[in-house]
Amino acid sequence: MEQSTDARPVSLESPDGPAWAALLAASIGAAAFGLITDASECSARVSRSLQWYRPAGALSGVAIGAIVIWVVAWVALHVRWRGMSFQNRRTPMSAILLLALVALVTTFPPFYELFGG
Amino acid sequence: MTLTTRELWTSLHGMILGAGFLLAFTGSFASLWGLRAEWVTPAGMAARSRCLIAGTWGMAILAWLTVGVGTFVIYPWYRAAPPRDSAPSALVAYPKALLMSKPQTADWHEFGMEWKEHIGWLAPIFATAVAVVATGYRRTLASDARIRQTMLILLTVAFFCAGVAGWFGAFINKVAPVR
Repeated sequence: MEQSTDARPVSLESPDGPAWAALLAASIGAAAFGLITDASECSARVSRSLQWYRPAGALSGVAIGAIVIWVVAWVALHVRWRGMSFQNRRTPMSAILLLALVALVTTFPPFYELFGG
Repeated sequence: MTLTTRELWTSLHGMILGAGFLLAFTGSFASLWGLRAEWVTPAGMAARSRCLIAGTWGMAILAWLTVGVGTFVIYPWYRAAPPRDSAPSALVAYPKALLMSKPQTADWHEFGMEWKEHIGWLAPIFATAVAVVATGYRRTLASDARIRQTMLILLTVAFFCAGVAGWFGAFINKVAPVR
């Protein structure tokens, strides 16, 4: 198949959409984990609201919340991209790597300390 | 030669589950790296795929168990607050309070533990996604360089996350052990 700059998925016989959906959803879940961590570290109110299992503190809510976002994103992307393939595969790859980088940066303590965490 | 219940849990968390994850990474990475249509025969591809699937699922399961035990079993013991007006010698049963009681050790909590408790959770998420794709695309992965490269990077990110968590876990447990 010809390469195209079109990043939208198209229908193909052996679709790679579900693979990209799984990988992208993981990066979305990981980035969500980082962003919820930052919110929890920077706001005492958010931190208290995330104490879903009190002995583990806000970490319990951060983890469970991110897992929920990950699973929801995975199901949504899978349903949308099942039976599809990407012509321009740099787009999903770049999004996956960028979100993974966001996850790494946002879970790094000096980063959220910049915002008072 | 005895271990307390808490020491048994920390050993399971770090030395069995966490270390197992880090060991499984090597085999999974090598299997995925070498899974290329131009490098291996069809029979070799099938064998590498089986190794990859076993390795990545092993990593995913070990990573979930590691973070689950770490967060919901050991972390509550680590962060438990000591009773008011505890003598400094009593802080040995409260690792977080012990670390925070001296400026020389506070960074082990404020930087090390803070980073470890968060970054460790990224490993099972990435490892699971890689395992799912390795299983679902075992027949086409060898000829799909872009997906394979993305999986290799995410697998390496998962290893880095687990490595940071493991490294700080080992050292924090030296300075202020959970007993």
